[in-house]
Amino acid sequence: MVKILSNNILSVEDLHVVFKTYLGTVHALNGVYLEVGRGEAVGLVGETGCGKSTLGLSIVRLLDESAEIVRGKIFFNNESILEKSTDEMREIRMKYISLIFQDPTAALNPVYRVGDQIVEALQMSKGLKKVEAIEESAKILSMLGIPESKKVMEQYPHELSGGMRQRVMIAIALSKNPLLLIADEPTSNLDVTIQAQILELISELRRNTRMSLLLITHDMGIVAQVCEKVAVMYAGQVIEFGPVRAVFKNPIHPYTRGLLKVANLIGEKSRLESIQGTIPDLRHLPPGCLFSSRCPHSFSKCVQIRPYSILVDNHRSVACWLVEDKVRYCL
Amino acid sequence: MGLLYYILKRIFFGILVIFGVLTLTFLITKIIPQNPVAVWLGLEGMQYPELVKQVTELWKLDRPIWEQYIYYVGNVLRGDFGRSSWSRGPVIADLAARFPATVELSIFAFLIAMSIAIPTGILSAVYRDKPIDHFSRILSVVGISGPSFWWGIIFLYIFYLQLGFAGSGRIGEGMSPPITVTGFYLIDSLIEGRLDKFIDVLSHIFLPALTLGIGATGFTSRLTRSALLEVLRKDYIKTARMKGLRERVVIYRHALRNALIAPVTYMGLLFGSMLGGSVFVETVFTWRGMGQYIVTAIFASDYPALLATTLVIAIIYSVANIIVDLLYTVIDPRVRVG
Amino acid sequence: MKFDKDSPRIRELKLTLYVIRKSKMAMVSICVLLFFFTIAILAPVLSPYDPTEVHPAEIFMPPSSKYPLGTDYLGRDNLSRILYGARYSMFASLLVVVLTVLIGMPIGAVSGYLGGKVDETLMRITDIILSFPGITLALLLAYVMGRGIFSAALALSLTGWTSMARIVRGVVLSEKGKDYVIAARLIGKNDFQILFGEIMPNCMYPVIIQAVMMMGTVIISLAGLSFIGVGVQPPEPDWGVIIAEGRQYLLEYPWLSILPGILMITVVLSYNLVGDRLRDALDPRLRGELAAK
Repeated sequence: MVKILSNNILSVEDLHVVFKTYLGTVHALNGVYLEVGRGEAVGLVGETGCGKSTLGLSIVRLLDESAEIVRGKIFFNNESILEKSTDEMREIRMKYISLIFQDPTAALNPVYRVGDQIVEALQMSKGLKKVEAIEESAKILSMLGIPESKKVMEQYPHELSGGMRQRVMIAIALSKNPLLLIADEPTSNLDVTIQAQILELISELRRNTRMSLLLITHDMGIVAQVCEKVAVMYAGQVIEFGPVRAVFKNPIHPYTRGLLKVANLIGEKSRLESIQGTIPDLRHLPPGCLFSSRCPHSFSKCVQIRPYSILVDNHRSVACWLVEDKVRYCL
Repeated sequence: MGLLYYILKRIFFGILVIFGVLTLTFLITKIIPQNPVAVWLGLEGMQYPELVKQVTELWKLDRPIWEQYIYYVGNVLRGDFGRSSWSRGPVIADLAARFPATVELSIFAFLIAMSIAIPTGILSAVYRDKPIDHFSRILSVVGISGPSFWWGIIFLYIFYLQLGFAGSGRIGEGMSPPITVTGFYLIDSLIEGRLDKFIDVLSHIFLPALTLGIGATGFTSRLTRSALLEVLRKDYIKTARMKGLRERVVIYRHALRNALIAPVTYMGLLFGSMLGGSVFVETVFTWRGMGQYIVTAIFASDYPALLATTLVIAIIYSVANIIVDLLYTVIDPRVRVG
Repeated sequence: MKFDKDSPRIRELKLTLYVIRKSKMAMVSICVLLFFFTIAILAPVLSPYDPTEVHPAEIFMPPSSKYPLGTDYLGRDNLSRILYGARYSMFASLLVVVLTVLIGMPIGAVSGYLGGKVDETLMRITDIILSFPGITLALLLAYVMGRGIFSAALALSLTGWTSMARIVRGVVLSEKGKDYVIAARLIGKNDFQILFGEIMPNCMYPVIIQAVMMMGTVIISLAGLSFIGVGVQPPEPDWGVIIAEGRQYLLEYPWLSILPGILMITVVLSYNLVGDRLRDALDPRLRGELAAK
């Protein structure tokens, strides 16, 4: 099968992931489509439990053992990730993709000094000798705005503040000059001022390195600030995808609209609204649109058939039957 | 600074607990429904009021209870645990011979248990749901579920009675015990330079040690397995994998040290289970240690011996716990601040 | 505690039962335990002989239709002794665990709820009790109270409550700062009502798990005390006693010692398997909250 080389660093097609639990099979991802262009920053937003983190971990194939990728394709740099051998995958993780987690406390090994952890990453990705790696990591840390970087390197994770720890995590992530950085809620555990600093840091690095970014978050404000494109996830599907400005200005999917209203980014800014209802039971998926039970506009087709992504204009796609009707209507 | 403070605090606390233990044993001597003077003098001796009075005063049993307590603590601190009402000699003399026997057996059992349990636990976690995992899990859970004295009997039957391995005692009947330096036969035989004795002692200690450690082995193996599996799900393991490290390096450098924190926290408890289990295992293997001494004391109604031995075992255990806690600070840097 | 249909606690219970039912191993274990309880209850009906009745002319008889499992060194019927022995292992252990809960739960609750000096004192007492390794303290207490199954059981309870107290204390400590407790105080409930009406129901599952996990250890400890000679007194038939008696004739008649041990392993193993499954079932991460990711 020939795949036309695209300009995307990452593309995910029809990805299905399930978790096997005591209480049955949980359908965490239900046909995800996503594209990240070279040098592009894409925000992945959605409520807790919508599968954002699962998607992030699927891309680097680090899902827990209870998870299984049932179907779908993931292309990184035009190569199929799911067909890679363990060693090839190791190489990709070593040199091309980095991952930052929500909780830097959990993401750093508690029993090793932070310096050793950065040095290890540098030794792996760039093949540096230990002495060179120590110099290099000190350099990276001071670049990230850490004064007395040599001293910080001597400390254990628990001796650092949350913001510092996240900087160390970023240092580890950046040590390899990745083509793609996947940041899973990198700031949600930090207080607001630190949050702004870290985000600014990530944006700046992106400008300097042409690295692509997949930013997982539930904060629409952060997406608006950092990203060019946004993908809205709901119950394991990307239900709306497009340029941030276009989507935020004119959200098409009822869920996106609701989400933006909650975030107070559109509509009358007077009172806080919330979307009625909860995510459907992911163990027993209904046949129709997964949002139909909460959707104020749902009609009979929504309950019967699951909508697929429809290209709205050249840059946007939406998975909603309302749109299909509109498109047809326009024709 | 923080580390030193922690160590001193831990030692102080340990001493406090030992005093608590002393107090508890003292209280037990007070509620024993038996007159120590009567035990000591026997029915005949009790007929002489002069003698009774003399002994009562000698042991300060006529003084108020707090004075008796101070007297008791003072005696114990001097190593005077009273006289065995059965052998009539000082208990400390009996214990001196038996103390190394039990400690040697317990330490050896502990080492065997750990050197079996930790590798099998790791293998079990790494090859999860593979045959080796099932095998070691079944073995662990069955091992835990049987009483040690029963396993001892089974081992005796198979290895001693059927296969002719060394069965009971600390050393073969034809051999004289090594010259006492430390009291540990394994060490003393080496000091004496008698390799044949060393091997003989080793062959004698192996079965009882295996028996004594069987519960701890099963427990630790399960604990290591679940701790390692738990750690392997952590984010920092994902971070390590994102560095492109080989699976072996991820497990042995990043996961194992964190996973071993769990068994290390239980090591004190496990060593304690060896000391406690010695009561059964020493009885089954006629191992002349403190555990067997306790059982003998029970059958002879020898309260001073029983109390003193229990107290000494509790003190050894407290000291072992302090050592384990200090070891813990080495393996887990997070403890050093708190 | 409300017991309406949608109460989270009822849902929790249903979920737990569901998870346990799904495990064949746990179900088999429960059946094994029920089987042994039945044997223990029906021992007088099932036993062909009085377990202490000696037949001096028929010692060490091999299994036959008259003595299905043969006789021991006094010519007593082995089958009857083993059936009666189940009574001590099954019921005395239950008694110990119930006593442990009855002693440990209130102490842990009060300790955690009141905190301060009371907590400090009670916890130091548990420290001291826990400073005696294994069953050494229980052995001492059992002996002081006089040999016999009741003092053995009491001794194990008097030393075993500490673990129960610590678990309950932990739960109370983590619950007492929560909103619903503050709410209960605001509507004027007193400490007693708050502690036992609001907080303690949260201890139910941890206590049940700990109780089931303890059963195995207690059975082994009781048998151990009998083996040493401070528990069940001969000629009464306890599995520990039978093992101890059989030990004298190990070379010629190993089965006298081996069989009670195998039965004990079966029971203890069943308790442990049920306990493991129960613990897993109540672990939210293992159960199915994975969907939250």
